[in-house]
Amino acid sequence: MVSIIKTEFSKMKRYSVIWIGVATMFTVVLLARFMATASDGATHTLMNFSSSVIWNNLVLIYPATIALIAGYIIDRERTDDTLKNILTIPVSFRKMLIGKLIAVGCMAAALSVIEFLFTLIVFFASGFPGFSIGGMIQVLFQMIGINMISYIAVMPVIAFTAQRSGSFMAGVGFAFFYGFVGMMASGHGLRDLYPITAGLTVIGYQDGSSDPTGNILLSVASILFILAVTFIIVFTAKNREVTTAKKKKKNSGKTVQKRNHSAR
Amino acid sequence: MSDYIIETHDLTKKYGNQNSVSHLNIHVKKGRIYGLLGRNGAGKTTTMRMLLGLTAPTSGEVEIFGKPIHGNEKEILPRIGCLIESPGFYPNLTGTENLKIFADLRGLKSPQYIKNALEVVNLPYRDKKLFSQYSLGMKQRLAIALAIIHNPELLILDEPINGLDPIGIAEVRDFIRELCDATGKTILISSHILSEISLLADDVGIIDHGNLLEEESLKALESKNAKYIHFCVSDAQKAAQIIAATFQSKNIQLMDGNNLYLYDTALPVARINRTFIEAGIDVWEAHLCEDTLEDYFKRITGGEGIA
Repeated sequence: MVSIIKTEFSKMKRYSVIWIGVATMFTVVLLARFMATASDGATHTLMNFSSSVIWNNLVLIYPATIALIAGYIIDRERTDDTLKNILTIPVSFRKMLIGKLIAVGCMAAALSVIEFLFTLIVFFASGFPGFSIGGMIQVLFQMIGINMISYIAVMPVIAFTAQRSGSFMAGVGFAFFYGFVGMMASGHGLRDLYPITAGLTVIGYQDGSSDPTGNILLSVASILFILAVTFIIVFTAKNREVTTAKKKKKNSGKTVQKRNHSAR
Repeated sequence: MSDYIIETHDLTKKYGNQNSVSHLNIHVKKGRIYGLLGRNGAGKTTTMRMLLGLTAPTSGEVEIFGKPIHGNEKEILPRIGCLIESPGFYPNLTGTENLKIFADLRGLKSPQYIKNALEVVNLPYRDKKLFSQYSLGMKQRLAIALAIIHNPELLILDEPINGLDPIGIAEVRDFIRELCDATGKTILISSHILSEISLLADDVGIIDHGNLLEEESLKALESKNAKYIHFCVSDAQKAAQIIAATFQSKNIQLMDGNNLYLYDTALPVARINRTFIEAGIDVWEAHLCEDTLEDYFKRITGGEGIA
């Protein structure tokens, strides 16, 4: 298993999709900065500013971004036709999937550090007050914590869509919706139950727009439930081939549709 | 234990109602090169995918090294090197980086494995060129390097000369022959290029529309090829009557008014010639002919030949 994880990192060399992750982290920090500009009169300390970054990242960007990166990395094994080389070693699809989920988990942590660095840069560049070393360390841990839990929350979606070629984009769409609904869930007292926002209580996130206290047991239970679902999906996972006959049927269906369309 | 390295029993693959491979029984002997010959879409790749457990058969069984592949993948697959369909590598990595990934997954720690494999296919070690910048021939060479990197006992190569230039084809052919002769490896190779199979294989399986039509040694197939004397004369009808009356042979085929084939090749051609001339028939050509493997392929598939 160690060698599988190690090779997953080797495969990421010169992967352009990683830069998409970096770019989205920068975008979310800029978004928080613009929102700070819009809120006239408020004082933006490091904690306030980072809270805005964490919230925007959680409900708008991160779930879809990490689902995109993971889905793309998994699907490349099919589009580059390398899956057959792996399966004939033999490394099972399940083991490969576990290796990829662990590698993407490490990338999720790395993206959190990048998000933290961008936050600091923009914070200092904006001349906001209220910087402290203790606060900075707390923000770093909060960002890593919430992003890792957010990754856990979308893992079942990634593991499920990984099993069929090309279906990861549907997973990305779902992950965006899943993250966005977190905004509503949090506002309706479901913050601890809803997997995407459950991490907010775990990291001790405090913001006026959501329940500052929270039930940590409920949050942990929600995260554990998602981990259990992921476990089941991963351990029943296999490479589900689209058969030639199905492809043909699909293609012929498209042809018929095209013909009907042109007949109209 | 079976004498065969690969043996299939009524191997069948259906996609919907369509039979891609139908009740296939192939037998690959140890230390020999088996050529699976068939047109594009005949079922060669599907067969190879089933042999490697990449595609589940609808029915039937595959035995490799005397054991069913299903359930014994961990034991059997590490002993096999394969190249299936197009070369599959990571385009963002170099050839060496690609091989390193698969070497690591196979537990091959020493870089010597990668060096040796690249040397065999004449590709540079630690070259900076990315796989995405490789020519088709280089990609194919890298795929062959991957197939042999772990020194497997059995090689399953699906159209290995695809994309290679004539010199590359000759090199790969020599290399495959050398592998079989010098190291005693068993090789299953598929191709739609008949001349390649006839130059390389010891045993040949002819597959058409998913059915194995023939399975013989190349020598046996060659001995089955028809031999005949082709006469090109001014009156083929009259010439046929003369052969039947004078030489007591009815093994004649009239092709048209001027051409006839005589399948009794033991008859004296010079005497037949003289008899024709004495009977007033002009003889323009007379030569001994033999069907090629392609003619045989055409005959048994009941259709057109292949490259």
